[in-house]
Amino acid sequence: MSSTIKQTTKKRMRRDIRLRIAVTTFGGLVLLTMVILIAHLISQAVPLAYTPQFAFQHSVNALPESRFVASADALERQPVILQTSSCSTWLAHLQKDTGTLSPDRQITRSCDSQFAVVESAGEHHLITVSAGGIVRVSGVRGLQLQANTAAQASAGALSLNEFSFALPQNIWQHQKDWQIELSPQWLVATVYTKNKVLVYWVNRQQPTRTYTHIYSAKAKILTLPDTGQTLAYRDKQLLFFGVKGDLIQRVEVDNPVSWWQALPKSRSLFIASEFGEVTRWVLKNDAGNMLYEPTYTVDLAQGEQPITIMAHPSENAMVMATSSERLLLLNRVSGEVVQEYQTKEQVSSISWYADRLYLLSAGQLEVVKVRFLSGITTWSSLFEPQIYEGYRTANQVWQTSSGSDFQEQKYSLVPLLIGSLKASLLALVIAIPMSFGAAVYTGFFARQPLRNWIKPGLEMLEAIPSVLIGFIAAIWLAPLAANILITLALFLILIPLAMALIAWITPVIVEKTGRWRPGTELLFALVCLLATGYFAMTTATDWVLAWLDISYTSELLSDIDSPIGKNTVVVALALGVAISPGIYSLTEDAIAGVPDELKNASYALGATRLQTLQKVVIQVATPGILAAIMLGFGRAFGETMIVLMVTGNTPVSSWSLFEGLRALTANLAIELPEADVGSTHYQILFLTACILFLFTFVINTVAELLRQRLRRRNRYG
Amino acid sequence: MDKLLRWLKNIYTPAQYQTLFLSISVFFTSLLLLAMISIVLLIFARGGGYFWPETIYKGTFTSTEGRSQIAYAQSQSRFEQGNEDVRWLLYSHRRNPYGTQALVEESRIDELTAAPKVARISLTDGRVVLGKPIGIVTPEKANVSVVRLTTLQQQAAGVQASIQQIKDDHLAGIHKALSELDRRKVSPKAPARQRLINEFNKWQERLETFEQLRDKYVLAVTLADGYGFNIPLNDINAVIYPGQLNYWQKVGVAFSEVWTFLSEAPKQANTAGGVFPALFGTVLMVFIMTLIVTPFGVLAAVYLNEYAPNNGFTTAIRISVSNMAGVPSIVYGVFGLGFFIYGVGGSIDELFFADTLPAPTMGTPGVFWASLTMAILTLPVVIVATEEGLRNVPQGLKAGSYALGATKAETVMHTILPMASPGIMTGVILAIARAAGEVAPLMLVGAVKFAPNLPFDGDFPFLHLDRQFMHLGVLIYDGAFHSQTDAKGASMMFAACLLLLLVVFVLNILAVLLRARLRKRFQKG
Repeated sequence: MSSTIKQTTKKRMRRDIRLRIAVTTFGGLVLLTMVILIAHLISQAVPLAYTPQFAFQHSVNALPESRFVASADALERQPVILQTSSCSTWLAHLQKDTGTLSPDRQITRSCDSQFAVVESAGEHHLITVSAGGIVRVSGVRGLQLQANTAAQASAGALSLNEFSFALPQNIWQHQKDWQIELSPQWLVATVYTKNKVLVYWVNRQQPTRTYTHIYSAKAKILTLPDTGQTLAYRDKQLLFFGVKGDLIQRVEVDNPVSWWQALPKSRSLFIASEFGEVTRWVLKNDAGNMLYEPTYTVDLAQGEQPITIMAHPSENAMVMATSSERLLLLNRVSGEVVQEYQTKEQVSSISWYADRLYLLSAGQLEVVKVRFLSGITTWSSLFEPQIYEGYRTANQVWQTSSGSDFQEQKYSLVPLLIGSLKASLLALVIAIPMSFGAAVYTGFFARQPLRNWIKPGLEMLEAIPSVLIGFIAAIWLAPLAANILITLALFLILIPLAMALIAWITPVIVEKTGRWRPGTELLFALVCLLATGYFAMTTATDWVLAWLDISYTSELLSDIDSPIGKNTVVVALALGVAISPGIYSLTEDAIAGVPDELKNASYALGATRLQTLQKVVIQVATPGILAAIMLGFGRAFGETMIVLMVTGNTPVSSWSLFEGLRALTANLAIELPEADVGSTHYQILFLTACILFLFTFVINTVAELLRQRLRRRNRYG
Repeated sequence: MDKLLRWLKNIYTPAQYQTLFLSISVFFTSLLLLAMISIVLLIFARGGGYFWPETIYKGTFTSTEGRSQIAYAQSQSRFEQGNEDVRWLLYSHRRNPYGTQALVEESRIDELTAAPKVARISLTDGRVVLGKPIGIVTPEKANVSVVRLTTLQQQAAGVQASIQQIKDDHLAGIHKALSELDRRKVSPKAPARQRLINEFNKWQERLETFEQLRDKYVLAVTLADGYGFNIPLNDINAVIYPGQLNYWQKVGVAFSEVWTFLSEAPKQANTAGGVFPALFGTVLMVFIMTLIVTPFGVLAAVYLNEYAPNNGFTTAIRISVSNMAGVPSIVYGVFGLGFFIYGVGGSIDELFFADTLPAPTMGTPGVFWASLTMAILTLPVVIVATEEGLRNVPQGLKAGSYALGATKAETVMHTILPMASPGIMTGVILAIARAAGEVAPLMLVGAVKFAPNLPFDGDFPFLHLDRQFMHLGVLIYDGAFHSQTDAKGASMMFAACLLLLLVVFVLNILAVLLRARLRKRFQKG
């Protein structure tokens, strides 16, 4: 008998322990989920704060009797191009296991021809110019790496001829130096002879259309085929010429120019002075004229000169190799030097594929990995105005989708922050009077039965999904917006007048009839509101327009670019309606929660209801009201669907009420599904999610603490 | 401000002064009430109006090119644009018998007269013809009265059924056998193949005769401009004469429209048909979410309230949990996408579905990840409501249970949880309501505007948790984005709004009632 009791007790104890373990586990799991949530958000954004690191990966010497000319993505089995002293070119690849170069294909050419490799938009092109001045261009990508047949290998001729044209033979015979640049549209050949420099602009689609410029031999020439400009420097003067040889721009510089180079796409140009000041010039559209203008300057050490620069295809990163064998990593937009690296030899050319940098000197190829490349994003590039390519002045721009490589990414968070703040602050301006007024009425003035109906009714409004409010605002309110704005303004003027009138006559009526059922004032107000609203909408608008003698839609709104329907006022209205019930509910709790003893004491001292409200109730309830407003602000700031549906989602950094906006939340909904995992864009989007999270978390915590204070006050009050 | 108040005090008597403030607060209350009433009314009116059979008019109006047009038309909504009254008209005319929608200024409409003999003929693919049915053509007879439409439609459907039967029972088998022969590389002249081909031809011939027979059942219709054309009976979904219906018949038609709306898939780019896949997706997602969130939320609340030591750390956790409810929902979506889909889903793919990579199996948005994300989003709601329920259990009851020798587990299971069950239910219902109405995170983790398959079908394993799904809220969002103007598509979206609103309201009212019951129980206890 006692053993069964013991057994039962044991079983019960075991069950007790089991439940304790289960409950604790689940509690722990929930805590863990929260920790994971926060940790994950932060972990995805934190790489932005890392400093990029260079890590030496590999270095390899050139094949015997040859020198490096160019390198494609060699670690991914793309070719390295070498030139031998015996009139031939090698295409080789880097063997992963041994780390040595293995030659794939030899291309021979006649010894009286000239050879060069040109990179255009990430692709290498082999260029040969025969003794007779025939230029042949072939892309490396089109060449078969392994020669299929022995005959082909021995013949070695360029099998694939993408493009060819002829330079005048008499000029070519006298050339001292030459140079060719490529863009999708143009091939530009610069030929230096003893007493002049000739620049040939050849249209790649129609090789017969050629423009020839002739410059004096004293001028230095840089051709910018992507923008169709030729830059000539002579005697502290920079001259920009168009394709047809027309002078576009003449700029005086203070210090002699010693080096220059354009980034791929030619929209950014770097010019160094003899004193080691490297200035970035960007292309901007000045009323149809494409002008280069200087922006930031990077100062190098005394006597140091840049040798070559290269930009990352998809990030805002740029490297600059200098004469003192330094490699600088820069943010190409803001010009901040983020990291340095000492190279083994002086670098003559650079290729950049994802995180792999190929640094070439004549005898050596050095492969360097760049880790934490997204760390190139600096505070200044996220928040401060920057001069972007194509923009006239310093701007804060959010524009992330770029169709092609070598484009600047515009990652300024300011427009998004302004958008979010603009919408939520204005929504608060609308919501606070509405919800506070309603809370004072139901929490203080109204009788209990009425309150029991109104409060749950208004709280139902909180349950309406925000997508519905957004839908109504987008489909129904936005098309009316053009008509409604002036009506709204009129309404706001008329209502105080109407209320003053009501306040005037109500006591008179009460005195006359001696009866005033509680709650009648609500009915009265509803009727009055509808009447005023109808009056404002139909007649008054026309009167005012006739009086001001303007055509409302045409003149008043003509200077606004974005569609009138999707402006901040409409968003704020919708958002204000969405957050009002939440603020109302908490404010009402705070006001109704003021202990009756306090109110009665006030009445006992002879105070009127209004005086009690002002001097007692609101004083006591202030922390609760503040908490309610803060929670409402948090809700408006984090609301996604309404801002997504009602704004035009244009990221403009303007506080204007008639322009559109793009909020942080809407931006996440739009861009996150398309962002590449791990890219800078993805990390910056996570950073915005962290901002949203922390912002609302802090606001909610403060509000919670305020409410606890209110509770304590009521207890002791 | 002070000056203004002092001035008001001077011109008003104290009673009037107080009334001023009273009326200000009343004004704001009524403004808020009005906002709520107008939103709800608008959704009810426009959403309900979608189902209501509108009268058909015969109208003449001038087209935008200035030509006079005569057509049967249904008026959909009237409003003011600029300074002109405009209305949406749906009308059928010679150039586009299957209904055109146009925004017509009131001034361009010359005349509208009711046309009771004109029917609204809705087709199975969601299109609509407004036309006067003249007669039915059958294989036997050229002109049969329209009255016999239903019977003849059944006949045509019978023919269609036999076509389908031939396809299923005979042709499908032959196709299968032929492809089997192809796979085994049997020569084209093999007798087995010849036999099959003969068989195929025989059935194909029979099929064609049936198809010809089916196509002979047509409804002849004329439009207002005298243009006549035939509609195959088999394509007709319903023929309604709105002008001949009395009020109750109209209600009946509206109810059948409601059923169509609830049970069918969207057609004609979300302007016709129903919202069944979206409703199903919403319900399934919410159901899975509830299964996940209930045990976690309830047990975590029990832990916080009964087991956790009463110290600062627990208070901090409690505050954090209630704060999590205020974190923007899109942040949960970001977390779901980054952690569940790319992180966990990606790892599952690498471990178990490596052979199908790089095409992701679990590492892609789907209904399970959506449910999980929503579960985390609604967790604070359940925890807070359950805790409230637990906290309100009278201390005396607990003490009584312990005094009777019950262990903590027994007290929790038999005393505390039953007492707190309305609180738990409230929390779960509020979580469901929140999840049903929340859209932003779902757009990141699996809800799409159109999914070809339901996440539940006859293929093993029947429930496909990795599939993307449709959601009512996403459908509405998409409707607002793509039908920028107030057109027919929007009115179907209003109907979807109405459905969502009803679901959310019913759930919320349920929660309020439960909470009231909870309070009453403790007043007694």
